[in-house]
Amino acid sequence: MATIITKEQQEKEKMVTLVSSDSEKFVVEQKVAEKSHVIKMVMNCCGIESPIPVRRVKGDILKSILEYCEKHSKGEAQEVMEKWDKEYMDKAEKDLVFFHDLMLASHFLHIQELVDLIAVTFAGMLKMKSPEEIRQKFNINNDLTKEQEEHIMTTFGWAFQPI
Amino acid sequence: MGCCGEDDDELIAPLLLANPNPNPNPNSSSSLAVLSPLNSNFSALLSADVLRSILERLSPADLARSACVCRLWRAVASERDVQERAFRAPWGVRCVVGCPSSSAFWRHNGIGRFAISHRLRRGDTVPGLALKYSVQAMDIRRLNNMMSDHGIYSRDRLLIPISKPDLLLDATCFIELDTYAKREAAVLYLEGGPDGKGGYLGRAITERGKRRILDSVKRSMQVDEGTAEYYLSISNGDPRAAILQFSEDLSWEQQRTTA
Repeated sequence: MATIITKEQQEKEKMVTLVSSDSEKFVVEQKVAEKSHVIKMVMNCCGIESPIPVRRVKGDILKSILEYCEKHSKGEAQEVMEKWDKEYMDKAEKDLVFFHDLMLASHFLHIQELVDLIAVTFAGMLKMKSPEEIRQKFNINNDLTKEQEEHIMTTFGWAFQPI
Repeated sequence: MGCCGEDDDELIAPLLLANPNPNPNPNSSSSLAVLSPLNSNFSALLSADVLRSILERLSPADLARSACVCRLWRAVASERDVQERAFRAPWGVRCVVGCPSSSAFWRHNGIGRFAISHRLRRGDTVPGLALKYSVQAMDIRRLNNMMSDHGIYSRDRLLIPISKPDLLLDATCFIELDTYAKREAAVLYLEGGPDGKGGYLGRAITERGKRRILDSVKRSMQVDEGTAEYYLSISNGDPRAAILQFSEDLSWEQQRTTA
């Protein structure tokens, strides 16, 4: 029992430095950084003494992600977490580009909880939207050929009636 | 990433669709425009994995609309796993086994798509089953395409509509085309897998579990394996009924010898 406590205390003291793509430095507890599967792997094999570069994530995104990880490493009650998650998503949702980068970074860093949370929020954005609206909103080029579109209209035509 | 299209005006600009290069903002990074085949500012939406994680959470109708956005979305939205998940998500079903005859099956995920398989035993009647599963007898007839209740004698199982959605929680459903009912349904087996054709040990138990039941019956009846197997088969795999039947037969035999 005693060994476990000391181990936890040790972990608490262990800090790790993460460096974003624009060389911003973040010092966080190890258990916070461990929320990311990728960083956890890196820490396991390279240790935590030297700063870990997170080259594909920009400073503001990394900051937001670490905020999420920190909150989620505390182990608070579920209702509190859900409420916090919702606020966090509401904030992120306002800026689509930021939201998109957050999604990309969560996939890159492999933070499963955040990936799920973002996917649910994103799915909410697609609800009751026509393909045209989706294309506009996310600036996607329609690369379907005429035949494919015709095929879609015959197979998926039912989905367009209720709108 | 995120270096272009910071302003919302660009996102909703109507000329994006008409323009073959939907990135009219000259300030936007040209490298991104070249890198991404779709010229979208949202490069994450071009990764099948990211897309899958999102589309998996849509309802069938939203999924179908998303399939019409572009080629990649169409490919991901047509994956069986994505469709299956959309199908089962609202009911909390753990997994759906099997492939429907057409992917149109996944479109509608109402509770009517699911049914319980009831293996008919002697003495089963439609009103009796309606009572047992607390559903309307008419619904059973309709689901099974029965003109009259006599249809029950020519079948070995009936599909029962699902009255309580909790039944589906964490369940495994099998997609089957019922030849009598003439419909495809995600069938739920309450008492075993779809393999129990002859009713012989037709429970969802492992080979090892079957073996253990057989052994225990064999030991309690003090008979050889063949006999134990026979009694288990006539009692539909119920060990208690098997032993009961065996002791009945035994006493009958004793009466005969004493007589």
